[in-house]
Amino acid sequence: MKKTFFSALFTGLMMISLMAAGPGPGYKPGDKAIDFNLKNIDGQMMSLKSMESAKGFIVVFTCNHCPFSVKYEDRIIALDKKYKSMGYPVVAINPNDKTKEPDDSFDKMVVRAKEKGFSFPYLYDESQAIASAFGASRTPHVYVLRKAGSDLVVEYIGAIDDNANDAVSAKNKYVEQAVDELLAGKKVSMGFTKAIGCTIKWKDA
Amino acid sequence: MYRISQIAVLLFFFLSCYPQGSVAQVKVIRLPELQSMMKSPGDKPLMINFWATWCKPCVQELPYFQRLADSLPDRFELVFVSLDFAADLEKKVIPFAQRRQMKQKVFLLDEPDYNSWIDLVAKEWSGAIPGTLMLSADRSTKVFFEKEYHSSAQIWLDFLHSSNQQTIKP
Repeated sequence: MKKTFFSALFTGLMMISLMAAGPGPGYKPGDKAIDFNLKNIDGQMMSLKSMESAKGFIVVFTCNHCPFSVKYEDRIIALDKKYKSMGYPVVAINPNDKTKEPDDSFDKMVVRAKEKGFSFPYLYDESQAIASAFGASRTPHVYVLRKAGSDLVVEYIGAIDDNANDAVSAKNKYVEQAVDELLAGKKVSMGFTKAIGCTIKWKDA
Repeated sequence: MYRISQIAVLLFFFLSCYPQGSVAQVKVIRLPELQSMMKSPGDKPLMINFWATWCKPCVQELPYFQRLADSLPDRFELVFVSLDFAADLEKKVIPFAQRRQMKQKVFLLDEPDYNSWIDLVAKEWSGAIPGTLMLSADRSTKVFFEKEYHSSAQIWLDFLHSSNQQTIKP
């Protein structure tokens, strides 16, 4: 009797923790990432599986409103221009709750992408399930994924480079370095970095 | 005409003098100064709030910190560390600190290579702000809270929680 009570309690707590929005423990380099099916700014649903010719992906959790995301917009566009043809396209995902941050609504994403001429998909993680599964905590937050058969292996997690304010002064371009190493068939030497950024605006649990 | 310009000069003089009595100073610091702040024992526990003028939830929670510090001045020391870009000091950070009457110490940490120091503040910090570090008076224990506060009471509860950790530790 006692046992069933506790197991019921445990299951209940598990359910609550699964339902609650918020950052999950997330991935570490070497983990396998899940694919997703999210709405792109063109209104079509998109998954990574559908991009068959890619060798991997530069997944960027970003948004419209965050000044750090805005600082990095041109650099994200440049990453896509440089690496799409080499097999590592950018896939941007906005995970923010639009009631917490109205500037991050789907409609505003469409407007921002047009203004900046985004050359890559800009997806809306409305349920926040993908940001939570990845363990994204801030914007911008990058995950470089490598395709290995049907798996997506997480190769790099972190910042784009080491200078948010000034691209020219950046000494370490972490994402470029990771993708270059992957393209050369090498192991990624720096798989994880931290950076200041805006918190992801989670829905109230 | 001469008189008008004289009045204008006087007016300008008064306006520029006016806020200085209550003005918040913002000192630019580098990592070693932050580290020494985190290590040097004091007579009270220390709360370091990491924020920026561009960070909406940070700006929203600032008054909860100010009010708590005002109402319990003997229980802890409060320090604000801005992560704004140093280039925005005069234009944004100082005017903001003045407008918000930030009486507590306000610093701007000028260390753009974030990955090199975030772990030194707290291993459990991902880098998202707002974030608050709570240190014991002797600075031997520290707890980092990567979250935004919606009341002074929430901050106080976390402060008590961080002090508790101190007593548990042998």
